[in-house]
Amino acid sequence: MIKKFVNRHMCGVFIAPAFLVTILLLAYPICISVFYSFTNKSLLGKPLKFTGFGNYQSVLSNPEFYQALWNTMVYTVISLSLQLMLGFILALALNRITRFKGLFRTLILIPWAFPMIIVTFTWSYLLNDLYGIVNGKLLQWGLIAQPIQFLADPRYAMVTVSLVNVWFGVPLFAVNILASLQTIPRDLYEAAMIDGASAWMRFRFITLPFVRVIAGLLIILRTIWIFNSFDLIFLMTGGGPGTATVTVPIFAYRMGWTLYSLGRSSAVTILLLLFLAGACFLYFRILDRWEREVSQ
Amino acid sequence: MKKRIAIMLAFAVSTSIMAGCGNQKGSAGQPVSTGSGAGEASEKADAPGKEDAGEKSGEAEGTDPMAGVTDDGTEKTITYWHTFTEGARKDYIDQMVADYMEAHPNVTVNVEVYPWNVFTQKWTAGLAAGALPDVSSVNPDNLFAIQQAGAVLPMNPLIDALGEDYFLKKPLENFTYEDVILGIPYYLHSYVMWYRKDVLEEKGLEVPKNWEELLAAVKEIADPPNQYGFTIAMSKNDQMCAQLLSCFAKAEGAALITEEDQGNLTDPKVVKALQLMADLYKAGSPEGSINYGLSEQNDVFFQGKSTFAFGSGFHINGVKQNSPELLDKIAAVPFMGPDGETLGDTAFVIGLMGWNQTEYPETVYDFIRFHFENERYIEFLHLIPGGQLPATTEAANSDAFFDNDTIRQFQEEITYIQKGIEKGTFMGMDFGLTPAAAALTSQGIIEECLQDMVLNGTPAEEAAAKANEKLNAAIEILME
Repeated sequence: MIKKFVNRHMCGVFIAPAFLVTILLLAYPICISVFYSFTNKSLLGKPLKFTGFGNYQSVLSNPEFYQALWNTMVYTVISLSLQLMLGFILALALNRITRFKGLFRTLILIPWAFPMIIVTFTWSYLLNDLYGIVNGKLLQWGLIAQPIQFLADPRYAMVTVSLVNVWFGVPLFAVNILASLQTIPRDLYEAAMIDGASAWMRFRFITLPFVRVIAGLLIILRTIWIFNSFDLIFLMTGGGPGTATVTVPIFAYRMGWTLYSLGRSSAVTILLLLFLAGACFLYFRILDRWEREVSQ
Repeated sequence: MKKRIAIMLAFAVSTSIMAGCGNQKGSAGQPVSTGSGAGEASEKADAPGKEDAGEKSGEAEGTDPMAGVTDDGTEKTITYWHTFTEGARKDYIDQMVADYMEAHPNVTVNVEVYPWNVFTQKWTAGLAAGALPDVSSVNPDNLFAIQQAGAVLPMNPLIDALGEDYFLKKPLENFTYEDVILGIPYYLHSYVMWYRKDVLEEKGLEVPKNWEELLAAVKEIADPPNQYGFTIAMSKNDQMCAQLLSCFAKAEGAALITEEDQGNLTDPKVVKALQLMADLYKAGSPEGSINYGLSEQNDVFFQGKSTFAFGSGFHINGVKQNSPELLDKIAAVPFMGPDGETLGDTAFVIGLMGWNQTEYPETVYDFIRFHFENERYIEFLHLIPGGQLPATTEAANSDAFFDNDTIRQFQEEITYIQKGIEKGTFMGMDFGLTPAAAALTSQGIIEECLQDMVLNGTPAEEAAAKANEKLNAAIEILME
């Protein structure tokens, strides 16, 4: 009887503490944010009042929110697609290198070793119009006549911050895809070559199916991280020039922390959550299909 | 809270009455003559350590109630948040805290240092978590928000004990809201217009006396990338445009926030000042200054590339550190209006405040007062000569403060800054402390307005109207 109970329920008992902690850490912030989004919650501790959908109405009727949402999508698409592409290329190159493997793998991880505050200050300085080495060299080589306003010109600012994010994010893709590449049995490639498969066909029918599940997971993770990314853009441009680089997290920050309006800020984050949940749902559907294909 | 204020005021009134009964009011560092501590202080003396407290209070009779209660023998721990993160000032504060604890062996002061840019997050999180300090440094915007949150320990008892003339009148007034003194000014400055004497001489130009001359001078001088005229920093991460606009607008007698707590950016005078800033940018600011914050703006001046700059006496130290050879070549004048008038100044202050959840208000007062003991205070002010100007009447008029090479060298500029302090108000607070002022600096509204003008060619009136609308929307949220 006891043995039967243990067999049936002991795993649940062991899992319960971790499950509870996870629920508290995940569910509590979400629930409290949902709750606050329907109230006038202020960081100044004013009496709490229920406001219904007032905060959502206020956010959704603000044209800056849509500008921020559009900017966030542009930033995510540029950053993610380039990170994936360059990460893939880098991983394939590293996979073929036979000498100084360890050195190169360490070198590509360097961007990840720096805190974001250092990354943003360094890049801001490198791209400065008066003292920055980038403009300095371009001028010296006669490639430009005037310094490029990387962060001060609305035409370039979004591309610039996205490229800095690409520089920062490529190593994650490269290292994980490289790890995935190394799990592919060599004999598959040998058999394909004997069968006369071209390099493209080997990539298309062997490499890609093995790697795409890992790549898919990375895409999901990076989409969430980039969409929620605050520090890089905030520290480099503060959302300017104009509203050229205002993203949803910056919009939410200005509402929440500088106007002390946690209610509105929570409404923004809940809208962001819904948007990301929808995107992740789609991603996971695709990922499931890929996984099924690999297992077949 | 009300009860605590009432007790404090009762304590202060009794203090004042006793002081009026023949004892002399001391300056900081000297005992403030009063009777023994009253109210809450006596209640606390009934707690553990009562015997000691009795003896101490006997000793303290006719001396200093705050020190008396502080030194009642009971162990006390207070937390001090401050924002002096850099070397010399941090070391100074550490030493001052050590001196205080040595003088009051039963008091432990826990110090937490943090940069200004996290202050809002820190105190709002502390408010929600019930983990606030006892004493902290503070700036005007946050001070008023803290008052709104009901977390300020009124400083009236301290002022009553020290005397109304102990601190300079205007700065203290700037920290007062409906007769409640929310904080104590620690050091002050006001903004002046710095310029390079040698560059003006080289071009045969006089120091500009009005806006027309200023713009003409900037046009004449600008020779990018070797020399710029006036750096207009517009980063939305900083508040440089808001501060500069405040300087120009106050000089011509215009407020950025009305008495009714509404944005005043559409006032023709303010629009004119916005237009001037846009013109100055086009005439002679680095193109990339659209994304410059305080440090980049200052770098251009400190490294000798900008002829004009706006700033406080901290600029003296900045130039000294970065380009000492330029120190003899810089000078400053007060900001002027379009016709050369100076009808107002923008002042700034870093203050000290107490938090009302403290268990030891008397110790908080005593500790704050300790900051102002004359010799120690002047030593602090001299850490950045000319940048940190005195808040106490005694220090402001003392020979000891002016007994410093740098201060002597820039005496004229420091006099302008002091005059600005004496008659100036904080940005957006022309009619007193208001939460609306925070909307000027926290949202990047003024910076975005200028960006709109210079990047999109939006006319000043239109850009100002858009900005004013945003400002009022932000004020509405802040005032809810």
